[in-house]
Amino acid sequence: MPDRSPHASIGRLVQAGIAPRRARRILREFAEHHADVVAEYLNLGLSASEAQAAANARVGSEQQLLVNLLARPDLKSWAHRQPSVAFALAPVLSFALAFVVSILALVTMVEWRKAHGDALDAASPVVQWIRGYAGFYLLWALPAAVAALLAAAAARRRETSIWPCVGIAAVCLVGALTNFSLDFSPMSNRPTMGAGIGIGTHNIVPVLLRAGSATALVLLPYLRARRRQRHEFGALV
Amino acid sequence: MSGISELLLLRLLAERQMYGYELARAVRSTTRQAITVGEGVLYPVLHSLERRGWLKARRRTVNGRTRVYYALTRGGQGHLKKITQEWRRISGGVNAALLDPRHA
Repeated sequence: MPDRSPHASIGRLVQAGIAPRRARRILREFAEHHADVVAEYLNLGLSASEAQAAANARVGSEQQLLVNLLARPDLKSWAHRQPSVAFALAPVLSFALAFVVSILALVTMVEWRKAHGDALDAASPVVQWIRGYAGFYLLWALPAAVAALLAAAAARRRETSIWPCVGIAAVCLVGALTNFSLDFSPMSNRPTMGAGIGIGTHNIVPVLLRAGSATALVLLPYLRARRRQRHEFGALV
Repeated sequence: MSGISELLLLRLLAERQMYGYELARAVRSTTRQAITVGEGVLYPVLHSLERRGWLKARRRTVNGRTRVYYALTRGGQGHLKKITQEWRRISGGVNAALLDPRHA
């Protein structure tokens, strides 16, 4: 019955837009069904090879199953039907949401420390930590992580459209437009956090360089992975 | 045939939850071997019904083997009622035509 590599069958279903988890589940259920039919024939007194042959004849080929699955558009995933939303719009909105949530988490942490009597001057460990890591996290790690997650999801789904590349570039560009600062007022020595998104004529070159480098960092491995997938899939089919 | 498969599968699952192999056998036995839902059709239909929210699937281990059991949802019950009425209307019309074609 399994007349082709399961990897190739899953790849074919995923390429056609069926979610990877569903594709794996259908093929597993089909294989379990075949095993049940073999067991049924064995119980009837057939030899192992006869039971296998009878089960193959009754259950049919995996190829036929694939044809029937591919003929049903309702089994195609939402991401396959709306790739521009799934791979471009949603990641940009997710990044914006993650940025806002991260800022709120930082503000909450600072307020919590203040409520517990932390002085929060320039020498405070919390302030040192925010100065050391928060900027890097918000301006570099967060957009790169969101873009990398998008690339991983698109590669897993073997998405063939241009939208994951657009999404990666858009997330990295929006990420490059963000800013974060932690300043101290000379009078009070109290910290003031600032964060936002925007672009000015004075900083257009650094923004573009930041966006370009982050995009290249994520996009090149993604394109390599897609190329490898295409070769593997071509060899298996 | 896909509509008939849907109707039969939903009707059988309205009685109790079953896994694919059980369902294929149940279709054969309840239709007195008149209808066989091939395995190549069974799983695409089951997954399509699940995607539309008319079935829910749950993996359970029975006698050391894990199986995916399908059960009818509330939406599935409503859909079954609707397609059963539709089927009765159509089959009633066809039967009437077969009995007396002059009035068809």
